[in-house]
Amino acid sequence: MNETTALVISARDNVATALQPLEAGQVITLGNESVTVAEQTPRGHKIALRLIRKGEDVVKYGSTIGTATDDILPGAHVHTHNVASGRGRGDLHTIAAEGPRLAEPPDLSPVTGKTVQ
Amino acid sequence: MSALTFSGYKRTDGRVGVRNHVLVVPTVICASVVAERIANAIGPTGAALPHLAGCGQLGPDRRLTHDTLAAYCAHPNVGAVVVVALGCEQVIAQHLANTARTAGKPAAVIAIQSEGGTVRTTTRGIEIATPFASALENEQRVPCDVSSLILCVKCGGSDYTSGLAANPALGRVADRLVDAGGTAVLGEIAEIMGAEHLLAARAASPEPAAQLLRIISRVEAEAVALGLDIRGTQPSPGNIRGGLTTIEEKSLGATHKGGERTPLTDVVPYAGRITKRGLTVMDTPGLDVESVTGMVGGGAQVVVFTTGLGTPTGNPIAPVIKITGNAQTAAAMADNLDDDVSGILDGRETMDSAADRLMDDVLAVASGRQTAAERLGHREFAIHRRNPTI
Repeated sequence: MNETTALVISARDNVATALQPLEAGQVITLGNESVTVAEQTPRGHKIALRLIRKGEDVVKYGSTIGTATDDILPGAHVHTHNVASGRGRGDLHTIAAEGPRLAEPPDLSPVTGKTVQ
Repeated sequence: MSALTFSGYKRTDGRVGVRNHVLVVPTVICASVVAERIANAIGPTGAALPHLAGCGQLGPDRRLTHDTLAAYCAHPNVGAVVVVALGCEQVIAQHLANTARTAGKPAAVIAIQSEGGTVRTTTRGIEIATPFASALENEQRVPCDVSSLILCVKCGGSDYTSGLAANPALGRVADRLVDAGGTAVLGEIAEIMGAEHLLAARAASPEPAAQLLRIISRVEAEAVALGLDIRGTQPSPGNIRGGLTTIEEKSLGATHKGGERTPLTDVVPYAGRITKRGLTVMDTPGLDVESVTGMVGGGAQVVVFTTGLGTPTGNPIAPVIKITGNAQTAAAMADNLDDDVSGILDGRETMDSAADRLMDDVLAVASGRQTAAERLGHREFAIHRRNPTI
């Protein structure tokens, strides 16, 4: 049952993807961890598995998908309102990365090296 | 030889086709309507390439238009070529016809100004194209090894299911094809942004890794130079409604379709010829039709296109197989879709069984089975352009 409620792809991930619409208060068990859904979350959207602090990487597929723009509480909906991409942001008048990132092995320590201010 | 085979058309230049079209190519937008009428008049063997360019272009765009049209004239899914010129345009009709002949295909040129107008040119074109079609329809398919396949892997109208189901299933097909000596091609540089480290890490040599990182930087710098926020288009509004938050997330899900272990062996320009086995990345924009147009131009004979939200895109000469991992979309857009892998997410099937079925789909379509896009007449074609028309 819980296996099809939400999915975590990599052990490094700090978010899970809802495979069903989630309701506030619903408890989701993923392996040894459980998290209480904080707010209604549509199918296909993400919830935080733990506290993600402002400025911290949001990790899915074992790689960073952006930076938290606010503290994100466990179980909270994680989307464009609290995550910012660091890539291709001409509106910030700075290149998001100082040249291309070097090759990283896919599933080791979390990716670092963001230079966006 | 691997055990995986399909029935195709062996060309005299060594390439292998999965379709046998008479290609009717307008050199310029002004000849597009006539080219389409000629192709339509000879039935499903006919395939036109209506496009918006061919004149008023300078430098790189002029070359890009010519090279893309020439790549289609030489493509192994094409058995014969009729070039339809206006007469005063930049793209040179004889160059296109000669490209086809060099690849071993019969080719003819007609021009609207010298034939004397639309009616005479259309009539003359049908007279030339009809015996081409008859000859091609009598050719027999022969057994071909799967190592001769170049599979374009593409996603569009992505949602959360794309990265979790359809793309990884397609990635397993890419892995198996490359294991068997074949080739996969992945485009859409903006949708690799954020996942380039994964591809670079499995580069066969330092050069393709360096090339990939260079073009990723260029695309990113282009957005920066325009002062634009790439989030205006990446992810698209539909992607965001579907739960994709950032381009990095979209890219990580999208890049799965290139396989998990395929070595990155080459990086080629838009519509550039794909020659190395393994995984090739092509420098294409993220717009679906421009991207597929470029990768087929590079030599891909079959396209597998994953979609979460559903999309009808086809191609004039290459079959486009549509698969979805979204059960709602599978029901709602059934006429546009060839396969449904949504069982991966609700436990009805494993990733491996979905990949087995998808591999069978690829071989059946390569052997002649029609795709939904072919049945519905989806033949979208758009040549990428980088500069304004002068």
